[in-house]
Amino acid sequence: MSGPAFRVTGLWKRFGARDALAGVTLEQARGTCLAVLGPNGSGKTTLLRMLSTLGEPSEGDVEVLGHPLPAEAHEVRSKIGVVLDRHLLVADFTLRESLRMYADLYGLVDATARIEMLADLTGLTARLRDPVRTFSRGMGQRAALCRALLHQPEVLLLDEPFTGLDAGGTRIVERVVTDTRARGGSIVVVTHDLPRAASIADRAVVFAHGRVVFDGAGEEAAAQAAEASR
Amino acid sequence: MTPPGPWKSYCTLVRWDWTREMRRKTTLLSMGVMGLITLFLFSFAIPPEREVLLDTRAGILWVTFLFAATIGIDRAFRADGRSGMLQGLLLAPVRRATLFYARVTSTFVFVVGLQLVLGVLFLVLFNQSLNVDGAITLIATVIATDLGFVTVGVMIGAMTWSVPGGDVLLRILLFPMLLPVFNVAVASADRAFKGQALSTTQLLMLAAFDLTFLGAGHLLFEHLVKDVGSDV
Repeated sequence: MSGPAFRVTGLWKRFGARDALAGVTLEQARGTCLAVLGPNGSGKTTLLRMLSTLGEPSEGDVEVLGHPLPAEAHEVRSKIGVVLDRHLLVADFTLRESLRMYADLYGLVDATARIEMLADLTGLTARLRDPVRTFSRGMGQRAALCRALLHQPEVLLLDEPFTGLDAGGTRIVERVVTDTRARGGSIVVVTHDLPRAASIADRAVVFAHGRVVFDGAGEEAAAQAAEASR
Repeated sequence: MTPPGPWKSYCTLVRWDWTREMRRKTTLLSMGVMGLITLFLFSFAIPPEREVLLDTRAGILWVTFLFAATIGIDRAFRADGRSGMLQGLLLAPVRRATLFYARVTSTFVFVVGLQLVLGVLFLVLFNQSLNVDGAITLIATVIATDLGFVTVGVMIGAMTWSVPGGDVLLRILLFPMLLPVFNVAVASADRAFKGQALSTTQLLMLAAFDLTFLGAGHLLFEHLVKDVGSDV
């Protein structure tokens, strides 16, 4: 398979009079991890939402795995895994039921084994029978990772994946990034955790006021992001 | 991995909606309590022996159904939207139209099920009876009315769940749109209480509303859930 993991060209997103994204042009090679850094309100999450098919551009082109959005959003959804600021699971279900529901929607044939494997990976095996509403923020974040990884996505979109996680949880995210990259998958990580971003990403971009103000290696980007946040 | 087709996704969504409602029962309980309160208030105001009941019974029944069902319709998206679950469903490889039809179906089943119970309570409280023709007329009216009612309600619910005061807005938008539907529904229920068979004209009018609302939902739902959960 060729072509970038995603490509955005002249991307604008307007909310009323405010430009959340102002003419962003960016692409990511497959099999790499891209960190998206920048201060609050700089457009990082908006970009992630465009890539995840949840938002539509006001102007410009978005392609994920060669599929133009929003025209081929349905094809993209089965190939991406998304972690947002909430776990997006059914609070009244147990973790197993919640994941099972998503497994059914993704058409997984070996759902039970996959759920157990992911619960083991994220340290949630003992919590599979617990209602999701009883989960702490960190547990919810781990559960969100399980949901996002269920169908072995080709592109993993992570919005602040380290928030609320303890040291063990952080290592799990790092392992997920490493494993995904190893099997040829691509990862986009939106984060404020500059040292972490510098350590896991092959490349980083820094956003400010809806524009890319830096594009380069992780460590240098972390310094730029720190500067932009001042 | 190949995502399931629309029919399988639809069945999955309806099944899990049903499982969830049976687990928490909040929607059914809220609808049931509202329906009971409305019925009791009307029964205090208009005792069964009063002649005026003959002219108002169909209206009383539909006001009760409307108040109770609106709670269920309001919850169709509000709870999922607030919990973030709606975003999860929108990220899954499920066509927007499939999600719409599944939500209409599960809400429709809850609403019709509850209305059947409230209908029986109405007959008991107001000392009314139905012959076979009347019962068939009433059940057909309820089903045909609720399909349109729920469809338009789910559409408006998808628009209003994220708006402050959205529950009030839902009612403000929903009730005027339903006036023509309820006009026919009340007339048809009145026929049922008089023991008359179903009017084909009334049924066709309700079916026309249903098809119009279903068509509108099919076309518009994708746009109604665009940018869901955007925090900017």
